[in-house]
Amino acid sequence: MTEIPLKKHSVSRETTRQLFDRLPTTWLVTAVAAVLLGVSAVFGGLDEAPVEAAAVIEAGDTHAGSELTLTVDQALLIDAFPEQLVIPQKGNRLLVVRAVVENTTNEPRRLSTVPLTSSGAPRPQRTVQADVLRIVGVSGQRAATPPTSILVIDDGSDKVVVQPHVPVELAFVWEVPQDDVKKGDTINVQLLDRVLISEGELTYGGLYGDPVVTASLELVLGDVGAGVSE
Amino acid sequence: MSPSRWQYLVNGTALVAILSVAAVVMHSAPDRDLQQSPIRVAATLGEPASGRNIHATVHSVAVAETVTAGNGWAGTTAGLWVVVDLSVEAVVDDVGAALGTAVLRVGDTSYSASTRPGDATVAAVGLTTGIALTGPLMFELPTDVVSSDAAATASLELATNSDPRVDSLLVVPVDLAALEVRENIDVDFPEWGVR
Amino acid sequence: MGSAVKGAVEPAGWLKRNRRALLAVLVLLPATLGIMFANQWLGYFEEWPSRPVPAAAGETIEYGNARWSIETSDRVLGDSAAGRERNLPAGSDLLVVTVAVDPTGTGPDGKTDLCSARLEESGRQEATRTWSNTGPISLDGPGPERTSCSSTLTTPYTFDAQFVVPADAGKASSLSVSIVVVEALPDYASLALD
Repeated sequence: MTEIPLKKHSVSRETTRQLFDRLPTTWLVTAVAAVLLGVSAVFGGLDEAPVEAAAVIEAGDTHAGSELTLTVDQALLIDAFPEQLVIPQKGNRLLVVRAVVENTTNEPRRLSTVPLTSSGAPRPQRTVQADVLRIVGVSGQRAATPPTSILVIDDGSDKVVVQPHVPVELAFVWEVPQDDVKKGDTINVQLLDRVLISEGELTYGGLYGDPVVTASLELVLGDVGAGVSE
Repeated sequence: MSPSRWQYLVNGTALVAILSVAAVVMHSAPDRDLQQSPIRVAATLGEPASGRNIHATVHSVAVAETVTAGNGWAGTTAGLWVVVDLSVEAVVDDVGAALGTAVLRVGDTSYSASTRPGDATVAAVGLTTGIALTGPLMFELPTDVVSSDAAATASLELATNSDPRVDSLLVVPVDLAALEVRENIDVDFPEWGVR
Repeated sequence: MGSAVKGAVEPAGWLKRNRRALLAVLVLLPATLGIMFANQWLGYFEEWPSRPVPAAAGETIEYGNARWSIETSDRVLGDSAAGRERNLPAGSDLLVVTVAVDPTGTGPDGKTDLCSARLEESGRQEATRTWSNTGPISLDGPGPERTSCSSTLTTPYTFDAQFVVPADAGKASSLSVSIVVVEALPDYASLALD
């Protein structure tokens, strides 16, 4: 009497297992692949995600980045800033971009610059801190170069820390060979944002990835010769 | 003798109890922020306060639109200047000791001491053991923050390293909203020695 | 009567019976503990980041590639005329320690040792304090000719290490000058002042 129910149970179990054994692997693989493709279709398909092109703005426009809001006013050439000891090498002049920077985060943000190697080229290194503005195409360099020094226009101090929600006018300074640029030239200025990767396990402060270009603008160079004391 | 149903019940309850205790312990264990938090020392305006390697007394706090410093520097800002006069010294060791962390915290925003004045502010000078340096710290703050509600419970945080984790941090509460905004403040050049 | 005799014999009997085992425990237990602790303590001393080579006042010791001793130590009080001349901060004194160096050899690069000097104060209830001789306080007037070791001289010479210290440094505590030659770390010379 107990035999029969037991047998039935084992028969049904046997049948299911046998079914699975008899299922061809290719059917299983195709079914799984179909499910995955269906799910990816829901999320927009297999095309590459479109990259947002950087906005093109005008001089005087305010561009809100992820951490800094920048208003680039003008670019000009000047011989030197002798009071602030920013004196270019013989045969070079200074290209200055004036911009108003406002920090929109809750922490102060230091803007530092890239040290130059002895040959005058920017030392190649990860310049996550320095990259707020870059200029392209000056003196034949195709790569965008960060500034060699950043000064506060009000008092000429070169230790620039932008406090939250306090706008400050800054001068971003590049050293360029005298013959490569003159009044009336157009330069391309790129505005960059840095990308926060994570908070950092052992280090203090966040870990940032390579900066991304979020806006670019064209500026016409002015020339103030030796300049008035800024 | 196989366990009775009652024993199963007791075992099950004990298991659930142990698991819930384990869950509570796991969730209340200190996270990385708590493990690495600075050791806060409460201080009051006008009274000296000591940490492991920092001993400071905040003498006064004032708010002004422009500041003239002892080395001739005159600073303007789009906001307001908060000028703090304090004496600070290292206690045990002067290796790499400077006022690395000088932060004014208002609400959830922090402002660091300005280095624009250069030598005229204490934030840029190294400290020495046992000999106090008396001078100003200057902070740039937006105008609306200085008169906001959160400014009444602002606090000044001081530490010797720019990374304040796992070391003493002196915390001085200041009431910014109660200070009147002056047009100009003249501050002295930082000076060594007892006042 | 038999049980009384039995009871009187039992305790002694146990000790006697287990004499050898107890002796073994008496020897092995301290030995085990000793070996365990020695292992830990030796490792602790080995891994100290710095080890002083002490010298009493007036003594000459060998350290690195030279022989060191303190020639003189002068304390210029902040409120004296000499102190005011050099513009010492209020409440501080100037301690000038003349260290005599006799180089006995050169390092692997053929130069004599460079060194750094620190003043250490110990023996107080509070934590020990140290000062470096290259602090942020700048004094008026001409400083000493040589303030640190020379990497070229091979004859005996002296240098003056100047320390600006609070007026209470050295009172009710003992001062010593530590000389650190980087190549000789973790050992450093600790020369007592008095």
